[in-house]
Amino acid sequence: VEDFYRTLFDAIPAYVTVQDGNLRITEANRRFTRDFADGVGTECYRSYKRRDRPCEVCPVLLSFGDGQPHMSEEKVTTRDGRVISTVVHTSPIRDETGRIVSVMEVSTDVTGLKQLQEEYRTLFTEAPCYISVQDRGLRILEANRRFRDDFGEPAERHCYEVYKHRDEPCLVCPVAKTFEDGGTHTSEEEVTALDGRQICTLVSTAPLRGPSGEVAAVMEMSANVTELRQVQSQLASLGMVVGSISHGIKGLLNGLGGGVYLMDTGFAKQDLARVRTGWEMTKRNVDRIRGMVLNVLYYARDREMQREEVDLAALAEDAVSVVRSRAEQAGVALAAPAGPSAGRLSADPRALHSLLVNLLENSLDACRVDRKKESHRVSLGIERADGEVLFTVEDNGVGMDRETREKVFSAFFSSKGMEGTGLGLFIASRIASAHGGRIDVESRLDVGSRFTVRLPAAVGG
Amino acid sequence: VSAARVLVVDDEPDAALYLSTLLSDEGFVTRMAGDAPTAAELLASETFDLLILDVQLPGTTGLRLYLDIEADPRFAGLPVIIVTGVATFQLFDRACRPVRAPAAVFEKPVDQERFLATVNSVLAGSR
Repeated sequence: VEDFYRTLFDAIPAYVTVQDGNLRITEANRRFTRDFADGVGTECYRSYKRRDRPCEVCPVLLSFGDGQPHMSEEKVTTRDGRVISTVVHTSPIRDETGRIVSVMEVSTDVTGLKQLQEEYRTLFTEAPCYISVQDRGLRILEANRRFRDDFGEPAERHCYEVYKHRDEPCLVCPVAKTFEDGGTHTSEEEVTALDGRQICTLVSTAPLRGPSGEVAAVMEMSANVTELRQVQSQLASLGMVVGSISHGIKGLLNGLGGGVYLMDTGFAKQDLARVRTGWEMTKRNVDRIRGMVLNVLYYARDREMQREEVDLAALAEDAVSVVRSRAEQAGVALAAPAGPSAGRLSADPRALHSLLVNLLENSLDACRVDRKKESHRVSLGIERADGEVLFTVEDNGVGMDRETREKVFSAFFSSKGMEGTGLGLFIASRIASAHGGRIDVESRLDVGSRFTVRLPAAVGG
Repeated sequence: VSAARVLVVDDEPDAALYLSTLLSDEGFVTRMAGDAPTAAELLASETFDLLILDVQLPGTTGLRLYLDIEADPRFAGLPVIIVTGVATFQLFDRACRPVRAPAAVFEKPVDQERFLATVNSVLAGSR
């Protein structure tokens, strides 16, 4: 019988030793003696690890201590110097009185498995997207390298802190949904990297299930789609420019049609007043078509800056004359700068002309739609201060709330519904920066707005 | 037969003046409104046989005005011709209930002859 057990003991496809309280190996199977030097009679740590002292955490000693089986993962060195990974199980052996006399230790070679694990680990780490594993409280338990590169060490912080610098979870959270229903969810998010970059991500989640099938954690994978979104929004703005221009052109052609009709019938009736009205209407619409075409050219960057010495007072007068007729029609008083004291500036006169006309038209529109005041005025001023030329366009129109004020210079933003092309102020601010300057805006809802164009007086910029 | 009365609503004064001149040359009595509230006041205080409405007015939108008129029993018999710079298929996208179609829709720039012919036939049908 003993021979039979001995044969079984030797045939176990793992390293098996029996150790005493000093970790001295008292029994070992054949596989152990084949692969490790100094078999029976030496200490476990010398034989497995060529150490002089026991390991810091030793499952055999743990089993001696509490009489329970223990487990650990170890790296050990064979007789011929190979380092292999093992999973170690220990279990106490008792005598008749129940005293633990020795501990059996079984080590299984899992080197192949370990390699596979490393490979998966590498896949996780090097995946070309952000991956994190989160617990139910949305704490990040693990994150891959790309995540750490762009968002820093997660250090068990919350997903929403790391990704969005928020104090509380997002209103709609795909990770929370996956915890709820165990399904996969996707969403689009805008997150902020360590260096402040805004990144658009496409997020997908998947449940990581525990032994009894419950959702133990959720993996969240975010692909960076920032560039894709940029292309998309460029395409969308192209669609909008076509839409807004065609809408604007239709209205202006209608106005031209009106002017021509009034002139035609005025001539036929010998009604000079009607002819004059028709002529004014035609000029107004031609001017606006010209302005719109110039705006589109600026938007398309087809027009190069052409600097020359510009007489500022003449420029301002010119711009005011373009909108005068519309102002009169809308009952808005228009005040032009007094006196030719503004001097000259090296600038692109046609660009500056467009800038001022855009600002004046914007103010005119702000007055036109305002019903809260008896009378309306738009004024243009020019002054020089601290090496700058300042144009101010001021109105007592509808004014803007904070949100409108913040968006006022972006392309295709219009508070006028379908009326505005959304290009005017965007072009104006672009022209100001092409001259090395900028436009400041002050505005109060229901009170009015003031736009200040600041251009450096010196050539350059 | 007294001349038909037409209200022209367009926030673009040129467009309002154009259509209103065109219609008065044709023998109609016309009034103009530059925004929806003024139009609503005129509609409440005077009687009209036809409303010409631009649907992108600032403030209260023309579309809103159209929906209000369409739902108001006082204006049940008032035909409306819409004049717009927006492609016609986009017009009622934002309406959240089924609406009666206007008598006609014209895209700007307005085709004078077709416009006058339509105005005449709409008025002939409703009077």
